[in-house]
Parts: sequence; structure tokens; C-alpha cells
Amino acid sequence: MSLVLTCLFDQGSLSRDSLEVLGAGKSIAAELGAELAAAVVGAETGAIGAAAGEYGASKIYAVQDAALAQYYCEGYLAALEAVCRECEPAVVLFVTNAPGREMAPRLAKRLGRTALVDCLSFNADKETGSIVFTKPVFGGKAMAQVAMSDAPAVVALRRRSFEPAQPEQAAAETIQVKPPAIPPNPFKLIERVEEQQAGVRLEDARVVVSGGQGLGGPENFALLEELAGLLGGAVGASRVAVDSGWVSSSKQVGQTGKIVAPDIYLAVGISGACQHLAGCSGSKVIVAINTDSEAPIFGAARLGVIGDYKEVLPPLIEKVKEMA
Amino acid sequence: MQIMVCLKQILDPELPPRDFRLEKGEMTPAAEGVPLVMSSFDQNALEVGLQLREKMAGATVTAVTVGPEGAEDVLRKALAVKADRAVRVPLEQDSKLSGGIVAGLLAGAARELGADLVLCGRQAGDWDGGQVGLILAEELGWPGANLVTGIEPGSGGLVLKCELDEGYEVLEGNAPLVAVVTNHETNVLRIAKVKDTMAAMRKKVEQINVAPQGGRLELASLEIPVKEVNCEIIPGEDGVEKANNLFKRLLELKVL
Repeated sequence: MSLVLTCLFDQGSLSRDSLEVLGAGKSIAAELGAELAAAVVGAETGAIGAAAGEYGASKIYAVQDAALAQYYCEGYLAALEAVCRECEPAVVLFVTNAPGREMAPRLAKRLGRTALVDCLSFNADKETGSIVFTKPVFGGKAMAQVAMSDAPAVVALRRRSFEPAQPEQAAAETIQVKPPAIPPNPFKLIERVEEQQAGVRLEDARVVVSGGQGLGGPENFALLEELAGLLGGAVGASRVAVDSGWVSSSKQVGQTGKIVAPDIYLAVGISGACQHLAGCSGSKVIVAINTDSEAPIFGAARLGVIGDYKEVLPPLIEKVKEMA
Repeated sequence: MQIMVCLKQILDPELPPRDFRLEKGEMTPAAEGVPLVMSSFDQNALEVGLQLREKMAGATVTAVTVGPEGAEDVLRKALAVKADRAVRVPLEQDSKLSGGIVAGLLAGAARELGADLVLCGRQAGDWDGGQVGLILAEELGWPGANLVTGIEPGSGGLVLKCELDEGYEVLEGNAPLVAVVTNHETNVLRIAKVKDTMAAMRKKVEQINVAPQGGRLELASLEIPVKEVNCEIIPGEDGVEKANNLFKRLLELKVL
């Protein structure tokens, strides 16, 4: 039976990213009549392997080595390459978080293939075993359907595009895999700064208030912070605001930034470049506030306010305060 | 230090969606009348290379592109911001979904040039493949750092700042290596002086020939998605009225 292999990098418990890749893997496996497997890599893989089993993987390929306690590309690549040589999967799935983005193309190359990155959906053909994946191109202005007919198809799925897996009762078989060699990390870690997020994570927020070029400077983000805070939401930004140094790049929403899907996406002074819309098009209601009635953001927004945000946001903040 | 920066010429990604069309009967966008520009993350990579050169005595920056003769425009732009050399690797075929082929050609150029550090943008703003630099690291057998925003010379090698999903990390590594660059406030490409732009027109573009190898992914279809959003403009005489009406609509839509 052919295999759909999901690659998990978590230590300890499954992240939302891993649940999504397992969820997508399960539906692809069902379409192909294949079995769902998971590759787990780390110093101690027991817990994560068991969790992957609970969420639908029937085979767990574990690469356990003290050298792999922390993620690093070269080591984890050697581990996954060994797993792929052992189980010869039909499909190998990643998610486009930082590790997935770098691993998918490199692993594919080692397996003599080219990866496809940032896929949104798929169509499988059970007869031929070929799968067609859809990915945005030209900054989201077009959608490409790419046929992955040679095994293994190595694919990185866009975050928040697939439903996370649900727990189920099933028994999983664990296979320990030993890579021929684990290369040392060619890079020395000098410093890692995890950004502490005040309040909710941008990607999990029910309300996102985003600012762009129209804000004119970093100080004006204070109004956005206030509104987001009152609504239990988070602040986002366009690429222009990030490149201008007004906000940290972890707040960038768009094709190469965070992908968000809140109930309300309030775009303030954002013109609405395609690559930005690609990061928020899954929102329930997009609200645009912009002085330029011709801005493309109004073509994507459900509700539009043509006007100066400095005159609209303060009274809106008052209304929200009244409600609370 | 021989710094090689990989640059791609693409259709201007700032082209508004309403003007974006596909070539009739072909799975490729209509190019006529659309300006060609340097892909934006490649601009960031070029700036990272230029800044590093300023901090390392004797370092040189070589701009390399893969494509037809017309693609030399991006090399002229690089020469205008003072890249030392410009090299084109000819490839006449369409670049769509051919990240593997392009990476192979760039690897050939890197070997020929004796590059120690190769910089690439994270993904091209046309086909958004997002993998040339990473495959290149595999091709060359060099370490690869992803989502790099800046590189400094360090006591024991190069110090690279890399974006994480939440935050960043600082790594130290030794050349040769490949760095895949993403945008940051510190690496927005400098603007060329007019006289340097003029001078760049007269500079030589070298050519390195490499035999293309490998296959491309198979494009089954290319479509422009149909958007069905009708924007409801919130009425109001002034900011307060608009805010009140917006608030009311958000309550009605049950999202507040």
C-alpha cells in the first residue's frame, strides 16, 4: 500500500501546523487509497509519535538521536532522507512554516524531484495515483494547478489552508530509522530571540487591525493597538509598513508574511496589493478604511469606509468602549 | 570574499489585478506593455551583498541572472548600484516552474566564478516558486541559511540574522554558504545615482554558458480567480457618523 508521509518537527506535543499537515495527509491518503504515516525527529520522539498515532497516522517513522534535540536543517534533512529511503512514500507533506519552507525543496532535490511550495488545495486521481495541487502565483493574481505525477510528490502546504486532524482511536506501528550519518550543524547559534506577543497571536486572533502606508509613520499604530486591544485582537501590517521600519516583520500579513483568517480584518490605510490580500482573503469580513476610493482593497473588502482613519478610528474606539 | 547575488527579471508585480491578463490559449501571463523589473526579494539580496562588501576589504559583488538577453536589464540595475561584475547565464526557455533547472545553472556559474557566498531572494514575484536558493545549496553541497535579513563579518566567519516564525535568530557560519534573503527595513535596495545608471549602460555584461539539466514541474492549468465581493460603502457625513454606521453593520453581521 502506498504511503502519504507527513513530516512533523514538534517536540513534546503537536502544534496546530502539525495537526493541519496530518489533516491534509489524511484526506490525500483517503483519496489515493493510501496509508497515512508520520516522520518524527528529535532526541526523544515517543510522545510526539504517540500523538501522531492518535491523530490518524498508522505508521510512525521515528529518527531519535541526541544530536537532533533542536531543529537544524542539515540534521533534520539527513533524518527525513533516511525515512524516505526506508518507506518510499508516494507523497511527502510539509507545512510552510520556517522549517517546512527550507526542508521541502532540499529534501525533494535529494530524492531527485522538485518540490511545490505554498499549496492551497489538491485533487487526487486514484486510478493513476497522480495528484494536482493548486498554488497561488503572481502574488495571488493567478492560481496554478500543478500535476505531481512522479513519486514522491514533495509538497509544502500553506498554513491555515487545511482543517486540522481530529483525534481518533487507532493503533500505530512505530519503525525506528537510523540515518547513515547525522551531519553536525554548520551554523553556530549565537542568539535566538522569540518575540513575546502581548495579547493574542496574530494568526489566532478573532480580530486583526492592520496598518499600511496610509498610516504615515510608526506612531500612528498606537490607535490600531488600542482598538485591537479592546477587541481582544492583534495588530498586523502591510509589507510597506514593515519595510519602512514602523513595525516588526513578525506582524507582516501577506503571501510571504502571516496568513490570517479572523472574523474581522480591518485594513487601515492599506492599498490592497495582491500579495497582501493573499494573507487575509480567508477573513470573514474585511473592512477597508482608506481615503482613496480607487484603492484595490475596496475590491476585496465586504465593508468600506472612504475617509481618514484619524477621524474614523477614535469614534469607533469610543463605541467599542461603550459596548464593553 | 566573492559574493554572488542571483537576480531575476519578472513582470512588474505591482501591476494591478484588473490589468493582469493571460496570454490567449496559453498558460502564461500577457507580457505586452507590462514593465519588467528586478524581483523584489532579489533586490533585498543585492542590498545585503552590497552592505557586506562595504564591511569587508577586498570583497566583490557579482550580479548573476539566468535568462534571455533582455534579462540583462536587471544586471544593468545592479551595476548602477555598484555591483562589481555582471554575468548572464543564457536560458531561452520559459522560466515557469523551473526552479530546479535555474538552480543548476546558477550552481554552474557559482563554480565558474569561484563564489564563496551566494545570495538569493526567497521567492520570485512571478511564479512564487520559493526554492531556487535552497536547491542551489544542495547542488553546491554548501550550508544554506533561510530567511536571512542581514549578514555581517564576524570574528570567526559570517554572522547571519535570520527570521523565525516568531522572532529571529543570529547564526555564525563559514563560507562557502548560500543565504536566502527576505525583506527587512535594513535591506531595502539603495537608489542608484543618475550618473551611475548612465555609466552602467556602458559596462560589460559577461556570459557564462552552462548546460541546463533536470526537469520542470508540470503545469496543468493557470487561471485568474474570479472574486465575487461587492464592497458596501459605509455612509456618513463625517468620521463619527461613519464609525457609528460601521459599528452597527459589524454587529448586524454578528462578527463583533
